[in-house]
Amino acid sequence: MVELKWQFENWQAFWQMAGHGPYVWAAVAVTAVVMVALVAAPLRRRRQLLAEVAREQQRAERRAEAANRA
Amino acid sequence: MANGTVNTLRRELLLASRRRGELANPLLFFVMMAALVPLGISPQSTVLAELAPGMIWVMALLATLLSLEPLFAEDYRDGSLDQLLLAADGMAFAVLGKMLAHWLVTGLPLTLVAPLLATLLALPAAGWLPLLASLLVGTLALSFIGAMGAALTVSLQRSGVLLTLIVMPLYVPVIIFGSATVQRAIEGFSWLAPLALLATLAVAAIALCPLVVVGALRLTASE
Amino acid sequence: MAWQWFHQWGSPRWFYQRSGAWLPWLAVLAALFLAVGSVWGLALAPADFKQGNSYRIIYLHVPASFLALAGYYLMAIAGAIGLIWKMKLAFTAMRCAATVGAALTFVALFTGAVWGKPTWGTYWVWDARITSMLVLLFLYLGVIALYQAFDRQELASKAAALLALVGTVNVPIIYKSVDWWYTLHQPASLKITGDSTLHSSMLQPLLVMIVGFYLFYAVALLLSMRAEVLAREANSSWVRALVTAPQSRERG
Repeated sequence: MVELKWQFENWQAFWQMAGHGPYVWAAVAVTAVVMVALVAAPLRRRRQLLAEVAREQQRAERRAEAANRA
Repeated sequence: MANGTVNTLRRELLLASRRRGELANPLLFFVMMAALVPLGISPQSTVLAELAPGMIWVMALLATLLSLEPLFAEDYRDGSLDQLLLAADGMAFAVLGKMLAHWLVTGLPLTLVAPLLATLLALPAAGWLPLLASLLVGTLALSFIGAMGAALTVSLQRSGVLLTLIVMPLYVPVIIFGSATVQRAIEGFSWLAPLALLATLAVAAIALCPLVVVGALRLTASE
Repeated sequence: MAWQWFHQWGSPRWFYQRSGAWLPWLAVLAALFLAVGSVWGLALAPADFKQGNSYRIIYLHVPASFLALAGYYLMAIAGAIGLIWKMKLAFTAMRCAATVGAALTFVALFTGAVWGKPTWGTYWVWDARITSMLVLLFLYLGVIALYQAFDRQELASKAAALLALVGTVNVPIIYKSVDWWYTLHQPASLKITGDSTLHSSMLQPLLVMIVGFYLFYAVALLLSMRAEVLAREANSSWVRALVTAPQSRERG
């Protein structure tokens, strides 16, 4: 097992990556954005769908109550 | 069963002979595109000679793509596709006939017009025979692979662009081996290897594509 | 026994419940692997002596490329299962795998391009692997476009499945032909990222990231399949029950 050690002296060196920082971090950022979107989009869609079903149901209940009263 | 192929082929060619104007369109497209290349890039024959193999192949590919849409769409609209699919003796053979007919009225004429383009684009003499050979074999692959796209989109209203989108990635190997055949010949290498690979593609396409086309037509046309 | 197991997959409700139970575990595992792999790859692994720190993009590029290709086959197999056994859930998987796969193919292309700038001095090089990846993206987009062109979902699924299957036959041919094409035109200076052997200290975090990406893929696919199943089954009694029972609304 190779011994693990922090490769950068400080945070600034970590962000700069000896000049390659912009490339590495651009790749990381785009990957992260796509991955978050892949998770967030279906979660949002699911919440909207469930909310829609709930609204539909309340409407049906109200209609049923109104019919009962009449 | 091969009768099915011959009968369909004969019928298709008869129909084609009645609308010759429409058939000339892909060929005109092919030639007009060739005229745009020097206007857009450079009339210098050294530049054109370098571009010619790839350009002619790309244009042949585009011309084939443009000709695909009506391949099954007309039969779908007038109902004769249902009859084709109901034919008792192996509809794959009937479909094969249609696809062969398509090649005879587009791929083959494109090959025959190619010398004109070779002249316009200053293709070096060493490339002429390989160009004709590769187009002759390669357009078969183009017609048969493209027919799958035509079958999948047959029931759609405006399928033209979609059809090209789904077929173009499948054309990648054909264009690679096709233009490489010509390029290698011009550079003085043996061009039989890419031509053989192209022929393998064409044979595989002829063997497999009719089956996919039948499956696709059954899916979409029967609904 | 085996058939019973198989038939369960035909029930959207069963899938929704089971996947709801698996997801938290998968998500935690995926996050764990991705976090460990990222820190290890970006900060702990030694820099490459030729490429410096830019090689660290490999920890995103290679896993994304793996899943882009594996995802295409998964999509096509799901489509085949749907065509053969007429299983709706398989078509749902196919449709969702197309989106997730296309997104990861885009990630592979983008990371490859920004890796190319410091390595080759230009963002885009017609290298064999990048070119194949681009064609793969086109194949994905073709399947999605064909699916969306149909009004009826069943027909859309079947047509897209057939196209995906045709694609699987073509993918190896495309890869081989692009390889062949590349050796024909290969400029001499572009051999930096060849399959040079990675030192084990660089390989270990890569393996962690690959596992992390696979787990992430499973999470993303299941999430989007669950949303799709809900949309398809919005009128069924079990979905309505989900809404009325507050407990399942929180947990499902």
